Amino acid sequence: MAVNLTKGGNVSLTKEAPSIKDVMFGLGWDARATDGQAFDLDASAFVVNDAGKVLSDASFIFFNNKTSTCGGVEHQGDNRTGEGEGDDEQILIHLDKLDPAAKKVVFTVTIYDADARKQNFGQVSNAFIRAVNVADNKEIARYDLSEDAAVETAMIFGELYKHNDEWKFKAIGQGFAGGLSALASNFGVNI
Amino acid sequence: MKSLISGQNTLLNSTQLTVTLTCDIGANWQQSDIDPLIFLLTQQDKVRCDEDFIFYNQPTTPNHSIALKTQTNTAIIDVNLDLLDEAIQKIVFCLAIDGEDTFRQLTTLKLSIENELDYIIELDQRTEKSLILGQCYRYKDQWKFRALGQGYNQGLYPLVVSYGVEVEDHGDNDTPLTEPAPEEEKNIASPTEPHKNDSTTPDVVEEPQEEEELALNLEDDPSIEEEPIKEADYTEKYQRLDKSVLSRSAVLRPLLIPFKSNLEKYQLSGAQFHIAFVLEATHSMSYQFIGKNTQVMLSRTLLAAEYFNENGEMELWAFAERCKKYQNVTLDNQENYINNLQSQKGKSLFSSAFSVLPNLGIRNNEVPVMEEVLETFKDSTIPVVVVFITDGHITQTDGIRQILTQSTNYPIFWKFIGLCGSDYDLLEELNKGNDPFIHNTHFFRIDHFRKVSNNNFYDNLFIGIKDWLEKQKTCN
Repeated sequence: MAVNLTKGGNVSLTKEAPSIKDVMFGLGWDARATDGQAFDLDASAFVVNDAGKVLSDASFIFFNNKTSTCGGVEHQGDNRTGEGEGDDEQILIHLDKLDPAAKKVVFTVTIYDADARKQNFGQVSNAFIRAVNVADNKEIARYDLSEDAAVETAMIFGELYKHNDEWKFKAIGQGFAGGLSALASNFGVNI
Repeated sequence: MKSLISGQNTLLNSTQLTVTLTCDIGANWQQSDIDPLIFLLTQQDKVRCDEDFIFYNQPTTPNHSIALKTQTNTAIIDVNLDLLDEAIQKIVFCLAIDGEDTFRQLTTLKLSIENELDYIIELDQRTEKSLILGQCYRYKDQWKFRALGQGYNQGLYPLVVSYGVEVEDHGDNDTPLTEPAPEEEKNIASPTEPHKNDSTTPDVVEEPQEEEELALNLEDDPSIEEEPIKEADYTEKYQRLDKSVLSRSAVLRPLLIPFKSNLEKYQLSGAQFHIAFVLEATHSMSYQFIGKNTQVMLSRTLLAAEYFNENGEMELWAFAERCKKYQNVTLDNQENYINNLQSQKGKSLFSSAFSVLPNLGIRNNEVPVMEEVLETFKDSTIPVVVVFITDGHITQTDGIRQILTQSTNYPIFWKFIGLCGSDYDLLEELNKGNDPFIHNTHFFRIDHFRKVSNNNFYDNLFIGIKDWLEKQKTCN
């Protein structure tokens, strides 16, 4: 079941996706047609503990650190322009491979160099993020960044969290100022 | 009133909007024009047809869902969202600069929607010459507005192309036109001497059909079968003409007989004068260029210039908003002259989009080119006939009248030819001969290009010239 999130929307799926094993976090947007610096959106994931902080610096998965030590998180590659149909970046999560200490995997999306380039999601065409249950290829949630995160440059899309040994997905849709490094600091990464 | 930043969107409270675009030009502004453009887009971000594209030459949609008014540095667009087709998902408000400037040379640029929002566009370090200011768009059964402020450094051309506006193709090419009723060759404008009061108003007939390529319309006129009887004095002149044409531009051969027979008819075989050519190249003329009508007019006139002009060369000016004198037309370059003109790259790509010739702009602006022509020929020792091709839409009545009056002091005759247009205004009016000062013009109109044969053309071309030449002699 796909849920189109609106800003501030918060959906908790306990029945629809009860035994998520592999989740694909997809990020897509249209390449810039007008002149100016390209829109470079980045998908990132943070594997965090009970306190909401990363297990280690290696648990911050992004374009410069594509695989977690446990092998449970795999970033499929950095797309710097949005060229291509469908998802332009994907992060694949293998939940049963994750470190036992992991309590949440937080998905985020940021615009690279947003402040210097004076860019926000509203300027990008058809930017979206989604979470997909790989088992049945069904979307768990989708967020229209261009429409609903228009003035933001970074946002926390949602999180997979463990509840009684079962993984569930919670959509968040919260904007965040300061870009990727601020986000990373927020999750306890040592920058 | 909400103030938006680039990228931001907001719900609109009303479906009846007044959108105002305003700007202030900076000290460094180099006199460029800024043109507002509004596009009606489908889900695919494309226009469906020419009517989905609003600019000063087409300021409203057929049902007035959009209406554009421009003033100095301001554009006001009245929008009635309820009148838009369901297929239209977005209305985009843009500006394009025609000239050397970019948006950086403005000091302020603002879009406001009355009682809804305003949006001040950042101009710092901009390099664009065309900008998408913002868009109204449908979102879940409501209308919203998104501020954008993005554009193209190359100006108008990439902007219109991105929305699917076809720049080469004129809408008329796609419209099937009825076959004109076959009828005998007749003059569109009956030969009327300029000073009589009985000029006839020609019928306006349909645009020529485009089913087959409009090849150079130089077929022999079937009604003239033999060489006309000529005065012995001019045989040599005719032979020289024939020889030049056949050796240097044989494609003009079918013009020779109609040309010479009208020389005889109007007793101009021995006349001494010089022919120059002025060609309107405004946006509305584009069909005439595509359909090769202008090339045909050029070729026909060039033959006359070959005969009359001392070195066989014909000066040519073209104009829209601006004018330019191009290289002289000769037998050697005439065949591809118009093509070559159009293929020259303009300095700004605004030229490729709507202007028919690079760098001239789009609009009618007759006065400067007429002034230039006047300046060029005012001291001529030989009388000059200026063949002036226009499709009308004349608005500079007073300016044109003034120049025509001025040129009565000089040996210049203006032969205006209306090419498949309308609103010829004083050009047509002057044929009545009622103006106390202006007696150096004649106008004829071609409404149906294919119906005007070479013979018709020369017949009309020569009207009024002999009388005027004679007056020149007596005055001198």
